[in-house]
Amino acid sequence: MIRFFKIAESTEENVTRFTTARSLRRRSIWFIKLRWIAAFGAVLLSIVAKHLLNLPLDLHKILAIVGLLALTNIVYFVFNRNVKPKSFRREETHIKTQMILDLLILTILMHFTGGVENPLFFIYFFHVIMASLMFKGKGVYQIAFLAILFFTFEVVFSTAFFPLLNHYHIFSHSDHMHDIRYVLLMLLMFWFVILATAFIAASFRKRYQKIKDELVKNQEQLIETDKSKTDFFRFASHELKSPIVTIQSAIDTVLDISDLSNQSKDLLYRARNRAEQTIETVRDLAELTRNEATTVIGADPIRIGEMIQNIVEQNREPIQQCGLDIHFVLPEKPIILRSFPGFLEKIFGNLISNAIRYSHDGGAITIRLVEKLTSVEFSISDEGIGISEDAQQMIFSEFYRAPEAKKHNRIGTGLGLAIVKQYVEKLGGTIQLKSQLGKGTTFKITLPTNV
Amino acid sequence: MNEKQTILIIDDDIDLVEILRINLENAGFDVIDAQDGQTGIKLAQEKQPSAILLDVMMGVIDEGFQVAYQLKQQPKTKDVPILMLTAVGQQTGYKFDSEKDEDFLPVDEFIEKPVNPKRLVDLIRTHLTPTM
Repeated sequence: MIRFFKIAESTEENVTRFTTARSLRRRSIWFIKLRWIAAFGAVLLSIVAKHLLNLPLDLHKILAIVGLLALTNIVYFVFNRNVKPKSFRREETHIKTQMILDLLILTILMHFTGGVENPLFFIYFFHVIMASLMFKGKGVYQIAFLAILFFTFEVVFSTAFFPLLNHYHIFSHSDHMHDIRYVLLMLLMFWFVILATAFIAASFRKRYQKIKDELVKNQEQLIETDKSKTDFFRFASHELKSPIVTIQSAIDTVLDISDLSNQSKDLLYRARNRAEQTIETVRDLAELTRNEATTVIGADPIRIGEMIQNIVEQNREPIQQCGLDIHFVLPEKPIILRSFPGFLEKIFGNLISNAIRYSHDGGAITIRLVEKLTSVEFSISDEGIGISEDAQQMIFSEFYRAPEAKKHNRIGTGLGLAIVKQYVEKLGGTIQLKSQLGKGTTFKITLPTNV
Repeated sequence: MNEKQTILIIDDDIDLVEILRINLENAGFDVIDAQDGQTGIKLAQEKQPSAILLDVMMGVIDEGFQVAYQLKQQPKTKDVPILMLTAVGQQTGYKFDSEKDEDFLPVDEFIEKPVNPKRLVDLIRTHLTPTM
């Protein structure tokens, strides 16, 4: 008893977002690395500045601040290790908190190393750009405002006008801090550039997101169109095939039951063969447009050697008729490939029947199977009519038949090798062809072992 | 002599039905036919054919499958062999060999069109229980 069942259509939805909980987590891991580099760089730079440039820096304080940064970094590291990224929102909150703490530590470091005298404040821009990559909408502006707030607070309260904090001079003659014009210009410029950076980065991000959304939408539409095309073709091929099948069956029946003159019989045979050829073309076309994902059926372990021998066995009749000699060169240990039997059968079947059809009577066909480290090589050589160099360029195109092939064998759809090539590529493999007109042809297929 | 065995053909292609009828009658069978699934099921109940030839794709893409399923569920027809004919083969996306899946449709033979009339008759004979 044969059993049928319907394959469930797998419609896995392809949702892409600019950032996901996982991508944010990856960023977080990346930031931890950056923080180590920043800590290391800060210490190194301070030592250089103090001893080579003779700047009056308090290395103990700097080390304490860098130590604080390192400590927070270790906390983040342990957190990432032990807590899985669950929701996008939570991950976003974490990374935002980390960024705010980073800004705070940066401000403290800046305060003890000269405040506005120190070009360290450029690092704030870096944070704003990072924020624009990760947070959508208001997120980047929140970071920008915090940067402005921290920086302004530090600068304003280090001046002689609001001497809440001590100002640590690093350049001996710098009394900028007593000149309100300088402080105001500095602050205004800082605000402007920070906000402009946030705006530019955010609009870039928005645009990029839009392009990405469109791409995803287009891709979904393409898949949908492709699917309906395939469905249409499936239906169309059935509609085309059915009437021809009826024609063929009618001719068969007439040939079977009527007493006809040889002339009538000959004509009917011709009609019958043409009907058969059309059926074959429709069948091959359907095969070519069949759009089965290689994951639907699932890969099965296949003994390729056995499969090939079975296919040759199925072709025994024409092989005997033409007196062909078939040689197998198979390895002793059977080769097992995890793959898709339907595709492999079509590939081997087409190549084997081609070799038989285009051989001269009494010729030899050699089938080789070799297992390589990461691939399996199948080759089939015949001593048949061969393919001219011009024809070799075209041989894998749909409906193409080489002139010598047409001469040798009138009937053929010209689709067989196109199907073979499509399936080999679907399985991630390659196909090569070596042929000399009149001498014979070798097809070699390499299939990767890990599909 | 034994009574003629009856074959039911369910197919909406009346031309093909006529061709099959000629072949089967020449081979010594009685032939009844239905152009759609529901009529086919009713006829099968009434006439108790020896075998049923069923087309997969009638009006709807899988009407044949539905018919086969219903025939195999009803006590009167569940033992009648069903030979399923199709013009589309594997391109329908149906897989024909899984024993694991529960959602199967029981058919005794699957024949891809075109089929040679003689081979068809032979195939039918292999599924018939010999009459007394």
